[in-house]
Parts: sequence; C-alpha cells; structure tokens
Amino acid sequence: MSIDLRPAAANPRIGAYFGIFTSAFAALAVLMLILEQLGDAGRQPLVLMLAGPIAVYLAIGLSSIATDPAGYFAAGRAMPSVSNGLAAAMAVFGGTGFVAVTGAFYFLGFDALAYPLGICTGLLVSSVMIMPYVRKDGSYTLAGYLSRRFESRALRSMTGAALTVPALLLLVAELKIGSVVASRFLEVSELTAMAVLGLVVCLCAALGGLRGVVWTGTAQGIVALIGLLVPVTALAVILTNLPLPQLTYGTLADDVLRLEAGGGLVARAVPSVQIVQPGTEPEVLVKPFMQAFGATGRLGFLALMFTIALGVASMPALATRAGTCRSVFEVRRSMGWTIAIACLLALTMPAIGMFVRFEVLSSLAGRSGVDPPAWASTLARLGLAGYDAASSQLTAMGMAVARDAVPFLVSLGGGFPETLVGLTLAAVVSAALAGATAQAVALSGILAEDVVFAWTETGDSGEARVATARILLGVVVLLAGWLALSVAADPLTLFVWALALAASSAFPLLIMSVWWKRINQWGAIAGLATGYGIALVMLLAGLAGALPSSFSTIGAYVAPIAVPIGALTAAVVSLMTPNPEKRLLELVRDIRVPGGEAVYDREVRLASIGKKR
Amino acid sequence: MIEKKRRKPYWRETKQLMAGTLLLPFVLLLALPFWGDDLDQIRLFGFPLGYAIVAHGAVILVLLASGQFITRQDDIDHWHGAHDEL
Repeated sequence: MSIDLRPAAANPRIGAYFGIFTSAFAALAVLMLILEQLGDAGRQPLVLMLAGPIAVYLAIGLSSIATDPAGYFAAGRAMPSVSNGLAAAMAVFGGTGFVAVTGAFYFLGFDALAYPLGICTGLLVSSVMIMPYVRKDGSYTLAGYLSRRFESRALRSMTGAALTVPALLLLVAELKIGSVVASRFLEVSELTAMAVLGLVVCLCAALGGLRGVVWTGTAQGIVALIGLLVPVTALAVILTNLPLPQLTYGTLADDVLRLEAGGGLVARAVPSVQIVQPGTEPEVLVKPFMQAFGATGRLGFLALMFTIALGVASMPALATRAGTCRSVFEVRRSMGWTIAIACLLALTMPAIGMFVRFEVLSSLAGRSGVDPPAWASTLARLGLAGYDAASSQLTAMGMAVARDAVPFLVSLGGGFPETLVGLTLAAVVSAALAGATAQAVALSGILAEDVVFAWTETGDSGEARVATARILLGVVVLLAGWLALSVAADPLTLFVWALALAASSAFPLLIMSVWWKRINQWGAIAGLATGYGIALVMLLAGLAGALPSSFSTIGAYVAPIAVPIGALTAAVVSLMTPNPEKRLLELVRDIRVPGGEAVYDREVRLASIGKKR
Repeated sequence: MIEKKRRKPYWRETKQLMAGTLLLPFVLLLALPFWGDDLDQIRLFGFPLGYAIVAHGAVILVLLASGQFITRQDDIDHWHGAHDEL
C-alpha cells in the first residue's frame, strides 16, 4: 500500500485572492485621491490608507489557522514559491530596511550601497549554500537543523540560546521603527502606536504561526512595494520624463552636484576604517551623493557589506522559510523571488535618495527661515526636520532632515496629494509589521522548540509545543515592545548588531555542516562558542567605549573578525577529535540530495508508526 | 530516487555550480569598491561608470547569478535522478 506523503498543494486560487487584494488597495487609493480633490479631507487619507490594509491583514491572519506543529512551524510545507519569496524578502528588509536604509541613501549616497548589496549577496549565498539543504533536513528551526545534523542536544540548546539575542534585537528594531514612524505621522503617542502594532503582530501570527506569517507577509509585501514604487515613479516622470526611476536618476547627477557645490558640500577623504550611519535625529548632509567613500571608508564599506551578507544568510527568520516550501526545488525558486525583490529594492532605494536630495536642495533656493518650503514646515512640526527659523537664506548645511522621513519626502517634497503620503505610510508600517511578525514567530519558535522542548523526542507532544509557541509569541512581543519603548536605540544599529551576532554564531556551522563532511559535534560546539563569544565581547566592549569609536559605533567589524576565527576553531577542533560516525555521514549524503522525504518528516513518521505498535 | 553510484558525480557538479555562481559576484563586490571610483570619469546615462557598476551592475549580476543557478541546478538534479518527484 502506498501512502501519499506529499504535502497538499496550496490553494490554487491564491493568486486571484491577492490580485483582488491588490485591486482593492489600488481602488482605496484612487477613492482617497478623489475625496481629497473634492475638498479638505484632513487626516482621513492618512488614517484610511493605513487602516484599510491592516483590517485585511487581521482577516488573513485570523483565517489562516494551524493545528499541528507541521502547520504552525512549517506552514504545512505547502506555500507557493512566489508568496513565500515575497514574504521572506519582507522579513529580511522589514521596516528598518525600507525606511532607514532608504534614508541612509539620502545622506550617504554611494556609501549606503553597502546595505542593499550586502542583503542581495547574503540572499544569494543562502539560496546556493544553505536553504536547499536546510529544507531537505526539514527541521523547524536553525538550531533544530544543527542538532539533527550533529546529533547533539547540547548544541541545540546552545544555538537556540545564542540566536535568541539577534532575533530579539531584530524584533525590537522592527517594532520601534514602525511605531516611531506611525506615531509621528498620525500624531498619536508612541505607546498607542506600539500597542496597536504589537496587537496586530500577535493576531496575525498566533493562530497560524508561519502560515499566518507567509499569507499576511504576502499582502504586506504587496502594499509595501506599491507604496515605495508608486510615488517615486510618479516623481521620476515629472523630473526625468521616464517612469523608470531606477535607471534615470543619473540624469540629475550634474544638477545635484551643482546644488551640492553651491551648498558647500565638497568631497573629502576619510579614514579607511570609518563607518558613518545616520541616526534617528534630524541631521544635515555630509557628502556629495555620487562620491565614493566620502563618509564610510573603503574598509568600513567592505566590513559592513560582509556583516550584512553573512548575517542575512544566517538570519533565523529567513532560515525557517526553507521548511514552508513543498520541495527543495521550490525553495530555490522561492529564494529566487526573494532575490529578485531584494534587487528591485536595491535599485530603487538609491533613486529615492537622489530624487529627495534634488528636491530638498532645489527647494531651498531663495527661501528664508520665516518662509521655508512647505515640506520643511510640515516635517518640522512633526519633529522630523530642523532649520534656523531666523536665517535669511536656508542652505544645504542649515537644513537638517530626519533619516526616517526620507521616504515620505518623495511625496511631501514633490507637493503630491496627502494620499500618496498615506501610501508611503501604509508601505512603511506594512513592512515593519511583516518584519516584526516574521521575527516574533522565529523568536518564539526558537524559544519553544530549542529551549523549552529541546530535549523532547522528535514528534512528541505536538499540541503542547504549538501552545507553548503561541504563549511565547505574546510574551516576546510584549517584552520587545517594552524594550523598544524604554531603550533609546537606533533600529538601524540594532539591525547591524543582530546580523553581526547571527553571522558570528551560526554562519560557519551552517556552511560547514553541508559542505565539509569531516566537521563533528565537538568542532561545531567549539566554533559556535568561540564566534559568539568574540562577537559578544566586541559588542559589549564597544558599548562600554573600550574600542576606538569607528569600531564601536555600529559593530560592523564584529563579523569579519568573529566568523573566520569561529570557522577556523570549528575546523581545528574537528580535526583533533574523532571522525564523525558513519550514520552522520549517511545523513549528510541524504541532505545533499534534493529528492525524497525530508529527514525530519521521516523521523516523525517512523516515530508515529513505532507508537502505534 | 538517486542511485548510490550517481551521488559522487552529482555532488561534484553541484559543487562546481556553487563555485561558478558565487565567484563572479564575490570578485566584483570585493574588487570594485577599491578601484571603482577611477572609472568615474566615464559617464553612462549620466551615471559615473564606477557608481553604475556598483549600484546597477552588481545588483543585476546577483540577479542573473541567482536565475542561472536555479535552472542549472534543476538540470543537474534531473540528469542524475536526484530531483524530487512532485
């Protein structure tokens, strides 16, 4: 008798559903535009553009229900690759990637390319070297994969504990950026915004787990992409006559250079190790847009790119996505979609930075502090811009803009209708929600699977594991929300720290566990402990001010030091200790071949057969 | 299901594809930041060439590398019978 072990295909009509959602969102935007043209609509466009999509996210989240661990932790292994890829891209970028990185382009120009290039490279490395093999193993978490691969429960607890910190940092960053931006533009308190965000995150993910993450993440990704691309495309038509901002912003290069020179911005050389990252407070420009390495030095650029690439490749929220696909081939396709979306964002973000810089600089000519451009007074009222109200002539060096206001400046600076500002607000909050939901589910999954139930036999106590994960989801969102409100940390800094920690602990093991058969559990434990230890010591020393300032500011130098040392330790200790056992070598050979049942699923099935006898 | 004796050639080709996919993006990303700004005298659609190679070229290279990896790895899987029958 043959039993069909293949997961059921996902809803074949899902493409049509999301098509309807996209049309409904577009219709809402058009309706708001019409209402706004009819008369003074006040704040309604802003509020409704945000409330409409969020109501849909809640409906999607509450209707995707998982009952068993495979449904909760792996979305039933039935997600289509496009949805999964879009949701994974949203999890990786999140609100931080959307707002803070776009903002960094306005300030740093060329030097900010380290962020999106790092993300794209990290995704490529992950899709080629890690994700297909994690899927074939079939574990629900990274630590679960490593413990199965090395047959070591101790390694599972250690990896789980180590990855808790980066996952929590990322969750705090996402909640923080979402609540700060929403509270500023809607003029509500940060606590209110945080409470709403936290509640939406919990409701979207508590019932369905990863299923909820993927389906809501798809809807959030659609809104986020529309909200980022539509205003800048409209602006590109106005400024460059072509609706392709990604390719046409170069035509403004000479104009921007002239405006920069007029404003006193000149190219200067900086130390090679320096890394400059705009903070959350309004700041003035530091360098010409096109100049390479005018703020972040060459070495700093490489270190930052390296940290982000390796961190993204070992991000827990990304690795859990491997399990949601139907097969290894689907994982590769899904990662292909993720990379495609990441590349689209990487091409669009510099265009936004350039256009906003052009708008800001060209609008200052002939304006005084008493009579500033409209966008400047709007942003200053929200606390997102600063200038000397007494000056008789506003200059580039006298106009401070907050990093997180830059995506909104596309519409505000262009004098676009309020609805387009609302579109960007919806995009930013959606991206933050998608990121926060993904990180919260990954974090609660780590805590439930690798800390609380680390020593349970495979396949046992399924309902208890799901229930624990749901309770922990609420706990971690509460904790992260409280941390985000009480700690004054920059989300972009937290993002880099988290990626540095994730890379230092997990990256060497993830690569070596697939590509080097000789590594054994002693090497893995030693490599993990060394890499994580170095990273933690460096970050804490940086916080305490013991390292030179360029090293301590954002911790981008942690991974380039900790990852090679961790990998070397793992290799040396493995070679000094006995060969791995024969059945582990057989397991590696199994993981390397895409065909056949996932290792974890097979173990669960065999365990359940054993129990019935 | 893959035959036992096909495993070795399958893994060799997979390794070659992995190296081939990652090599070019890595070399570009490591090298270009260091001499990319020497090319800035040349302009391409208004962009300084060095900037365009990093901001557009590298991104598009990653995209192409990913696309060719997916199709070629699937070909390798099918050739050796290592694919998943879904």
